[in-house]
Amino acid sequence: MNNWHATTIELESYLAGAAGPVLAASLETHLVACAHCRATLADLTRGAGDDAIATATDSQRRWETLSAAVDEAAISPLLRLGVATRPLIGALGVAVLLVLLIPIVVAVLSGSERLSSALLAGAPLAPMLATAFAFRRDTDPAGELTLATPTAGIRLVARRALLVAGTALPIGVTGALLAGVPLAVAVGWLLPGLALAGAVLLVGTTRYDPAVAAAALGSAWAIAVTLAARDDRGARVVELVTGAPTQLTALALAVAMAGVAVARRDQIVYRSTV
Amino acid sequence: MSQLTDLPGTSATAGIAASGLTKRFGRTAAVSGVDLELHGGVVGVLGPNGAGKTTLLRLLATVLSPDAGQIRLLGRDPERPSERLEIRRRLGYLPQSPELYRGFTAFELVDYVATLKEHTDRRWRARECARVLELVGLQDRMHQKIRTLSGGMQQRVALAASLIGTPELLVLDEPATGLDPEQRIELRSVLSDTARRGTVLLSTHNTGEVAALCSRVLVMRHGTVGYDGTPAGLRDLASGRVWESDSPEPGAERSWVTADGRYRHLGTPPAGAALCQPTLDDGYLLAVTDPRRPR
Repeated sequence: MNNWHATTIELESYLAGAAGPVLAASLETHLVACAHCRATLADLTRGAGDDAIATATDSQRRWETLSAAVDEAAISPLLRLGVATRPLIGALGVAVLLVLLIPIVVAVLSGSERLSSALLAGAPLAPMLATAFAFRRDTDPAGELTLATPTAGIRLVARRALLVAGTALPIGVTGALLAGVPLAVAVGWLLPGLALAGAVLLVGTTRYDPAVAAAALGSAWAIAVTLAARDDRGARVVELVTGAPTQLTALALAVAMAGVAVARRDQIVYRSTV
Repeated sequence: MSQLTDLPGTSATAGIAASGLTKRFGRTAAVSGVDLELHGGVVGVLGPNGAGKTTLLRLLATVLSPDAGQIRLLGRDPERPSERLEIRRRLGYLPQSPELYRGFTAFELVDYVATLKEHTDRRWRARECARVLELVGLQDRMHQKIRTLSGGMQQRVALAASLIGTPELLVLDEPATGLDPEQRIELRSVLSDTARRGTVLLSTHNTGEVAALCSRVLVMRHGTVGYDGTPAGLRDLASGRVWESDSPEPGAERSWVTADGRYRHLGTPPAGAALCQPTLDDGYLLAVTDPRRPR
């Protein structure tokens, strides 16, 4: 418990508007928590003349401003980091589009039997793109200010990617199940998607551009799955991707690449500043 | 290369120390072999464009890593990841071009930076944001969108963000840009107050700021420190080397026309020249003058 109280001289100086910004801010912060000092301030205000009442009005205005800020429903740090900028909101839109709309559109155009292979071709790109977007320079609301903070670098990138992917993935799985996709397929794209995202995260810790890596890996994955699904309406590729060997390999790759990226988190500056 | 030790002074962990600091971009050495020891107070960095001021400040703000040399900030080595984190928790940085997201309010932007600085308590953040915004005189505009604020106000928002958590080391790249004279005076008050508890390093093109605020000044030239001392010492560099005449002087290192139409010269005065009292500008111009290059 803090037993410190503001002195009468300090409070009178504050009332007279002569406390200066630092002392005034300190007093206001203290007054928020200290009923004793608020009572003293009230007594001083009542005992003062017209001039003091005028300055007390100014003091009241500052008090109300501070109180309004304190009482404002401050959002959580994760949300403040994540929903900050249009590029991130755009990334979320693209990710949801990939996991939800594209497979359905493909199914509508090509028949429902191709829904599973379309989902496996497009949905894994969502977490990967979320990671690539998280590296973008314009996702930093505070620009270069960000780089000198403890959260700078891959810590911030990872949080943004988790926010976007963490929102898109459940939507994708739920949407696929509602569209009648078997459970094995509805969740079967998650681990390949995380492996692709891990690769992009790892590339981001090198001097290579993670966006280029995402474009190359994403294209390769989508083309490979689409070509493999061409002959037998995707039955074989669905079996291959959702099978245990592929799933375990994807899991191992995702964990390994994310682990290496985390180990390298302090070895790189993720955004060049020249 | 000299070995860095803990900084002397009241606190063993205060200040900046650098030895042989070098940063290259391609073949260009933006900062070359800089040695520094700063023990608190407000230190100004002067220099022409391209002299290496911004690169030096980025190195000292942990934004860039040096290609050679050593740095210790607040007694810690920023090249070691765990120590860099600790430095960044106690560091405030204002870049030359803050590039703030215009869709945020001033409060949201400062709150975002507080979040990046790992302040997770919402009520503490709200109070701290209100405090720093009041420090820079934006208490009435804290809920306005950045896009609706003038350039000077946006600069003050970024300054407020750099003041979050009362940093012990404040690195400011041209903080007075876009501020009107009254705001500049308020800025001096804020920085002087911060310097009582730590070190403030600021770059500027304004010698008036240095004279009014700084106990020490560095003058950068071609990536090196051309002068390191007090503002009075910088002014005295030009003592006996400033004179005025009614006509140009080909032998002067620098000459310019003053408001009253006379010529003011820097260099070695000719016999019988009308010597003038030097100003900080005169000393600065001499410090950045390259003797190899004719003027």
